[in-house]
Amino acid sequence: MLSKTDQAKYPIVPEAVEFVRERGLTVDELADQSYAAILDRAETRLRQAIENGLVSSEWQDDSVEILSFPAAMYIATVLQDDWVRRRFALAESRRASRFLANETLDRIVEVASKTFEWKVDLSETDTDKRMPSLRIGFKNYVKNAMRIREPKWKLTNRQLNNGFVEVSKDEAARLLEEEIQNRILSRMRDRAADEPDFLKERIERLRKLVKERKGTGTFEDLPKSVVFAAIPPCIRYLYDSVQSGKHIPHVGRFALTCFLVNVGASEEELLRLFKTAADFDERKTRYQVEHIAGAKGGRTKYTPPKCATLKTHGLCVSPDKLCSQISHPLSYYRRKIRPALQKDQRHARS
Amino acid sequence: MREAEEYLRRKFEEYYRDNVGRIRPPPEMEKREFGFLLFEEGVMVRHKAFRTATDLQSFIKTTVPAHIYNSTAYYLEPDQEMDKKGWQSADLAFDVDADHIPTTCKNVHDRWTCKNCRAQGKGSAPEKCPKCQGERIEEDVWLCEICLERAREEVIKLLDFLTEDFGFSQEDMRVCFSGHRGYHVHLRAKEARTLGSDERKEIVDYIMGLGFDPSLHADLLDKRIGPGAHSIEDRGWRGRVHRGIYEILTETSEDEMAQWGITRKIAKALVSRRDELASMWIGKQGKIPPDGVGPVTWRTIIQKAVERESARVDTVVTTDIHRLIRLPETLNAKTGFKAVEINSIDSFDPFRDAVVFEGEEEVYVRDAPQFRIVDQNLGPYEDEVVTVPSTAAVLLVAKGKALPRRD
Repeated sequence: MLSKTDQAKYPIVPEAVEFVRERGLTVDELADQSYAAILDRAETRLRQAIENGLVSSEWQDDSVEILSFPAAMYIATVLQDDWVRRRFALAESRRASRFLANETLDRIVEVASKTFEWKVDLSETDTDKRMPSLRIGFKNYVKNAMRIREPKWKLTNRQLNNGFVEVSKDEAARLLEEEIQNRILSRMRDRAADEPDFLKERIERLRKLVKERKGTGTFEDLPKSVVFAAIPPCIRYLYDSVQSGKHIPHVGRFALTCFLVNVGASEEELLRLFKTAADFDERKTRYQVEHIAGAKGGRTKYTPPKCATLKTHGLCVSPDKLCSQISHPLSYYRRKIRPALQKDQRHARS
Repeated sequence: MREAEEYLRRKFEEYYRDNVGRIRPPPEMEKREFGFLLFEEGVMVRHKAFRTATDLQSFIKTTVPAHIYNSTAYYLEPDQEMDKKGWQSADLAFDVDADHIPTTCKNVHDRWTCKNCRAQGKGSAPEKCPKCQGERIEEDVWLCEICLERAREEVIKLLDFLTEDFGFSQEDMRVCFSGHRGYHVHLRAKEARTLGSDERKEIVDYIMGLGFDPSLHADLLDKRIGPGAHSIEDRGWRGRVHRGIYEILTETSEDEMAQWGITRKIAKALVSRRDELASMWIGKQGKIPPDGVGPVTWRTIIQKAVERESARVDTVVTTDIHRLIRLPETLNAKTGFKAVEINSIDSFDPFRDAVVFEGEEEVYVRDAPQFRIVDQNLGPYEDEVVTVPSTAAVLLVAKGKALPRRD
């Protein structure tokens, strides 16, 4: 059983969620001065998340600590800022993961299996301290490990036996961090909230902080037209292949089109590009391009496959130094044009 | 060509008239999308849904499609267009195809023709026509025993990964022959069905050994490997690589090693000390890479061991969670063989177990390599009229190598 203090450490566990539910606090009630401590801690949680990417692990009162977590999630939702939501989920999950790394193996198993329904148990094979000491169902492992980039997390580099992956205690805590982060994000995702008056000041303070933190120049906005020098080698290869009339596989064509749509190529430009292809069919190509751009069919705008997927399909061609620092071809593009953009902005300011 | 198509359609009609009852739809058929490629101008009919086996069977009987598929996915409304189907889950599917496996016999039985300048060549089609640089190349691939045997070996490796490493049970897996050059493996366990596309990608990467880093596998790169620390009996990739290295030490020729980029001197040393090295590798006294075998050579050997032990699957099929896949007990118009569920992959023989037509027929054969149907060896043929088993006649016509004789 998890104690009240445990629940304060891990406010995501069902016991803590149940504790909050039993208290039956509504948003309106939070306006009452007697709950100021909860809102204070909630604001601190968010402030620490924004500033340090980590929520502190010290607190006064267990109940306040538990209740301030959903309150902070609520405020994060009200802020309506994706960056804040991601930052908060990261900071909270890192806090939990630090606690977990110091727990007993049994406690880790308890949290993982009860909160996240992991298939997990103590590994019987190894007693040596250097050796892994937990077994995790491969599905739980993969779902979380694939979001971590280092090669040691790749399933191919793990000991996989009868559906279970062996991991050390620290590794289990790290995987749970991913799981917690994801859970927090999904709990905030399907909520929308108005901005209540009693939160006005707190929200203003946080917004100001976010602005300072992010700085004035967010480079999220890409230039309107394609900067060819910033295209990563894989896409470059596909592009050159199409241009020289070479046949490229369907996945490659999809990756190329998606990429170019995302960096601002117009439908006409794309049609012109594919016209050189040997098996060009204008009607079909137009449909595909429009579909990918989100104008047809599902109206979802597609993003190109990430590096790992391109590797799987054998489309990762002559990666360069920058490639080792990114995991998505679009990040490559953004990184590469960033200096150019910064220069532009400095120029504009002076 | 029209004549050949009419002939095939007539043969298919005959088969479905008598055998349509054998077609067992996949479980939860009402949630699946069915797709049919028709003989008539190669039209694809998609987004069909059926509530009962009888509905499906009578549709097949009346339309007589060239190819019949069902979705690996389960949908709320399978007959809606793609975005409105309501995807729920999908069987985990693998496709092992001879097309993806290099074999030397392809140079004998496969051919390509440039659609632009009509230049021809042997083996797998090149990317570009060497004569006119054209890109539109027609492939003419043969249903070859050696290629199919190589594909079957890959399936056996794949099944080992799925049971030993991933822990799926035999009962959860269905292995099917596609009726042409490949095999399909389907997993319908709940655990497999709910996997997302990214998770399937990780499974494919594991099976193909993608991203394998020897420095992350205890002791593989150590100069001296502790006695009995790891062995060919280990589970997972560690054991596989150890087995692969053992096979390389015992089997690989000096020439092949040289082709891998190993220097002649080292290759010679490895081959001359073959027995000694191999027994050391599986022994309990510790494993020392031979003198002169530096980290570069050792990494090459490990990489080759990974390639050897990995199973070559089609990466797109497994990661695509909306895939259409061939329905067993239906005919493949590329051959006239049937797609069939396999009870035992160890004893499966496509040239015996996927054959459906009975009797004999006369056909005019332009040219065809040697092949076998059940236990009868046929061909090679060139510009001649021959009487062959009906299955062979259908195969030759389907492959464009023969024309039916009018009755």
